[in-house]
Amino acid sequence: MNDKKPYEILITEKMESFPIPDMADAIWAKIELQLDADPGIDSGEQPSTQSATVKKIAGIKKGLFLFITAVIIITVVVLLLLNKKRTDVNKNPDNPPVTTDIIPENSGINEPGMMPGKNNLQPFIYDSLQKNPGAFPYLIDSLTNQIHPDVIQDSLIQQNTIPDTPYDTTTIPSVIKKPKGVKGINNSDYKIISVKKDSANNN
Amino acid sequence: MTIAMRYSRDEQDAADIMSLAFVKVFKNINSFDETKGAFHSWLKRIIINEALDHIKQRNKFTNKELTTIEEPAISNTVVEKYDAAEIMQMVKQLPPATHAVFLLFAIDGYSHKEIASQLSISEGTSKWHLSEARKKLQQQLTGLYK
Repeated sequence: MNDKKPYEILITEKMESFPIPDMADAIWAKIELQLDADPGIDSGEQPSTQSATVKKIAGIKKGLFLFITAVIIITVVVLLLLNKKRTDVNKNPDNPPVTTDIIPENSGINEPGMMPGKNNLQPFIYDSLQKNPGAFPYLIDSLTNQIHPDVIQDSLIQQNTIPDTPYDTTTIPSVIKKPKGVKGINNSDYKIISVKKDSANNN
Repeated sequence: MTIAMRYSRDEQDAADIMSLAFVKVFKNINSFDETKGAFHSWLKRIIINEALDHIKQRNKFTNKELTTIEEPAISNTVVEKYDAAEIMQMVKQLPPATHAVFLLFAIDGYSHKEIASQLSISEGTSKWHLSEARKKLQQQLTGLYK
């Protein structure tokens, strides 16, 4: 049972003389593909164990690196968001200071639905710009620290458009805003006063 | 390639076995010790192991204990009537486990103990498969030329 039979030796000889198909190129191509995919040259005993350990360590290192990178990115994003929030709060305080030098309180602008504040500047700006486009730079210079940037932005957009509300001569002041530092001109300066050609009034 | 051709079902299978075996040779070349044996023997062992892995992937090797020992008698003259291709075809027609055991024992000279270790079966199962292979080959060899 444990010995080779004579006919089995003959079978062996016949099988070893079996013609081999010419597949050398195809086989070498497969070998190249597999070696390119995983070169893994062994340098000692138990190659599979060693390479598995090395791969494990490399995997842990890679994971740690990704984790640290993610933490850094999240921290930077959070800091940026916080900084932006602080900047927005500083730019837009709840009660922005408004001077009365330029616009009097009794200017009569008090339409409902407009921007809240001590002086409702938005419609005034629109109408002033309509009347005096040349005053726009002075207007911005004097008001940039008093008016919400959105209002200014709206003004910039609408400076060449006609406002929706009809022009109301009774409520709109005839005052043109002057740059800061210059003593304001009040309504009385623009009153149309009839000048009597009377020598008695010149005194 | 001849070794791979014996253990495989077809040429493509043999090519796969050869490529995988040579990749293992290249990767483990540093572990070859020429004091332990010839390079050819080392290479042959790698190819056979790869071929057996291929077979084991496709087939389950179950344990069967040999109850009766049958020694079919086949004359060399009968075997000589067949060419290499026909002999190869007959051997490949054996069931996978029987085919593997026959090749390992009769062609490549492994002992039943070594075969049992390689295929994760008992020695008794290895002997059973060899007996089955001899019976089937006898039927085929004598059947065509009656």
